[in-house]
Parts: sequence; structure tokens; C-alpha cells
Amino acid sequence: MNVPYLRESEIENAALNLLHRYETSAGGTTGFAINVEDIAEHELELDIVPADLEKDIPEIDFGDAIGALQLSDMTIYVDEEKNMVPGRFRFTVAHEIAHYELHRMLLQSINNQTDFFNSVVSKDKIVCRSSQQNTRIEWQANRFAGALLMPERSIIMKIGDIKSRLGLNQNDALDNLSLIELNRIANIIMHDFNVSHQAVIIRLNELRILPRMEQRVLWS
Amino acid sequence: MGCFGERLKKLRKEKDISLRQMAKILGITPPYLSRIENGHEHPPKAEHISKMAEILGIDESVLFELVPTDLKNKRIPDEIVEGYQKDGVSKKKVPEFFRSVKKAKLTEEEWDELIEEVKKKGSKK
Repeated sequence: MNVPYLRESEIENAALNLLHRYETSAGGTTGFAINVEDIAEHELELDIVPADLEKDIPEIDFGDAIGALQLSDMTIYVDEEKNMVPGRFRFTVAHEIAHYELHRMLLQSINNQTDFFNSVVSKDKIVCRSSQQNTRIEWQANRFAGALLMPERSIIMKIGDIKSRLGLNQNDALDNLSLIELNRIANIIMHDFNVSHQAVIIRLNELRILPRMEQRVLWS
Repeated sequence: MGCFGERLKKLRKEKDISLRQMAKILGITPPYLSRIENGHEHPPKAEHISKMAEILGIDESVLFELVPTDLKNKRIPDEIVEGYQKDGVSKKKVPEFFRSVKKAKLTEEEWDELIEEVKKKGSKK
């Protein structure tokens, strides 16, 4: 399957567009922790089914999937055990929303089931596994999920707010902060946006906010 | 197997109730409800169907009518169902009768009254 190339800005805009649609229909702005489950269930009318995928949904071949989007049933399946880390469940929902927003037309254009880097992509579903994170389709979905859960404007606003709270100079780039201060910032973002630590580091990196040298240390 | 689930899903979405909310109120798991709605599982037991109708604000007969007849009659002995059919009574009347009796929560005395009433009807024929 040929997944078209999408620029980072296109993916960011697609996520922002969905957020605007949701805010318009929900009648107000959302807080820092974006309610992705409500976006899925009420804005997009996708059902969310948390389950032990292999045991509870035997009719679909999930294998060791983290999550999946079944278009014919308008359902997002999330493996409960593989998404137990705080914030991970929300990220997987956002990731499947991304497939719905970015790739549903593409899936519908497939004629036959295709083996795609150990994943199963077919006309009506995409099954997501950790082993396929580097494929284009999964990279795009992860980027969209990060942008939906942590929009750039909110992250910048939050970092400004944290700097004030910590008594730091607003003009200080994160490069000038100590590892302890960077870690405190990452932890506050993790808490306020209700996402995992890993997702925060990846997002700060995507937005080129986090000094590259510090990433490895913060990652651990 | 699909009609019941399909209709249930449509009615639930019309009421803007999420699958997870519905499952929680019913006391069943989201995967089980999902399998029912997507036609991979038979309709649930009668008390869950009644509860579903209550949540959706519809008459329960709307959902019960979509339950396959052989499934409705599953717990009723064959000789009873066949006996009614011989008398020209449609199959769906039998489970409907038992459901109504169950819902009415009759006392011992009321049961006796009902039996007497049925006997009276029989003696007139």
C-alpha cells in the first residue's frame, strides 16, 4: 500500500482542525488535557472498546496489537493491558483517531487485504502493533496523536506558565535550563496534559523545544 | 444475528449514548456489547434487553421483536411451544406471555387467580 507523504505542518493542521471542529460543537474551548475519548465518541461517532483484544474479540485477528481501527464497525479497539501506563490509553485513542482522520479514504481504496510490515491493513481496518512504529502510516498517526493531545500553542503557553511558576526568565531557552528544571517541566506537562512522560519528550522534540543533548537523559 | 445489534447500535447512537456508558449501566463489558451490536454475539438475556429499552426510552417490544424466535423459545420446553403452534398461536406469543408474567411480579395468590382465569377460558371451549 502506498501511503502518501504528508508534511509535518499538514499533520499538525489536520489535528488542529479536528480540535476546532470539536470545540465548535462542544461550545467552548477545551482545557490542557484534551478529551480525546469524547472527540472519538461524540464528535466522530466512533465507539471505544477497551478489551483483551485476543480473548474478547476473537473474530478479528489482532495478534499482539496495541490498538486498532475497524471502519466497518466505526470502532476503536484498545488493548487494556498494553495501555496501562498513565496517559497511554489516551494516546492510543488519539492514534486511532489519526488513522480515521488521515487514512480512512486510503484504507477504503484498498481492494484486498495486504500484509504491511507485520501489520494488517485491509479495506476496513488497521491493526497497530509496536513493531511497526517506524512505518510511514504509523509515524503519521503518532505525529497527529501528539499534536491532538499537545497542541503547539498550548505547550508554549504551558511552558511560559511553568517558567513563571519556577521563577525562571521567560526569555530563557530550554537549552539554558538544568536537567532537574527540564525534568520538572516535562513532569508538569505530563500531569496537566494527562499524557505519558515518553509522549511529552517526543512532542517537545517534534516541536524542537527540547535541547537534543538532554533528550537521552530525560528519556531514562 | 445482525438485525438486533444493528438496530440497538443505531438507537444508541441516536440517543448519543456511548458504548462504554451503555455497557456500564447494563453491567456488561464493552467488548460483549460491541460483539452484540456488530452481530458476532446473540442478543443478551431478556432482563438486559428490557434494561436496554429502558435506557433508550423505547418500548421493549421494539427490541424483543428482533430477537430470533428460536432464541426466544430456547428455555421453553419444545412440547409447550409445539402445542401452542398446533392451536394456531404464533411462536412469539409464548415468550411474550412469560416475559409479561415475569415483569408483573405476581404474588402466589395472583398466580392462582391467573391459573383459574385460564382454566375458565379452557372450560368454555
